[in-house]
Amino acid sequence: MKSKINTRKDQVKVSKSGLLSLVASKLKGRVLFPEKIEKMKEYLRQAEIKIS
Amino acid sequence: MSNPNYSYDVEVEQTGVGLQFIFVSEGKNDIVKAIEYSYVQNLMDRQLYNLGFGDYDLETDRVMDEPVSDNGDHYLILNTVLNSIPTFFQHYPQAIMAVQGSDSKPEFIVRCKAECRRRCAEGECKKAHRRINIYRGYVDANLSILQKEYVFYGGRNDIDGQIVIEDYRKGIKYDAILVLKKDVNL
Repeated sequence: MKSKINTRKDQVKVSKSGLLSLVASKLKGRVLFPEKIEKMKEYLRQAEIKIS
Repeated sequence: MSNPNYSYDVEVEQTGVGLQFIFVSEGKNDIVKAIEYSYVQNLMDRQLYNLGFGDYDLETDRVMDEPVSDNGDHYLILNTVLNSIPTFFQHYPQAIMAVQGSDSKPEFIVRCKAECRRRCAEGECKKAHRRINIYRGYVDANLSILQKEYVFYGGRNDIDGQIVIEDYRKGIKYDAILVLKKDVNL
């Protein structure tokens, strides 16, 4: 049986938990959806509240 | 808010603007997804947070809220997003959570009209509002159960174009949904 060996140096295999930690560290301190915040602000600015 | 056993494992992080959840969608491909509850402003003396959701691209280091990844696990993804809501309220029990669909933006409809093969009528776009409709469908189907624990409001355009936020009613085509924990009245 032939096995395929990945020799590419730009690819590494990481576990799911490792990937989550890596992404969490890359996203730390970042606002992910700044446009959505502005859009919601604009929406609320125009909204009339009619609740019981 | 949904079945907690039918959900992806998440990495939860408190951030400067709110709360972040990261998970991997394991469908046809592995896709990193991000949920963020970001503080927007106060509404009726309560802090309002927006629910944002999108794909994270490790190569470009960007989060995009518009792609439809079609990874074959949309119920699992929806459950994971819904299950993040109780965690959000554990951190911010007095807050209001609000959600709008990224495909409800006028820019989405303009772009879709330019690229889409479907022949939608003037002023219509069949691909628009799909995201908020998923949340709306879930709330409509489970409203009586959900209302034991949460209070829902819906935002919609009135006939004169005015945006109105009102008590949530089933079957109304809301373009925003606002949620707060029960026993906390506006």
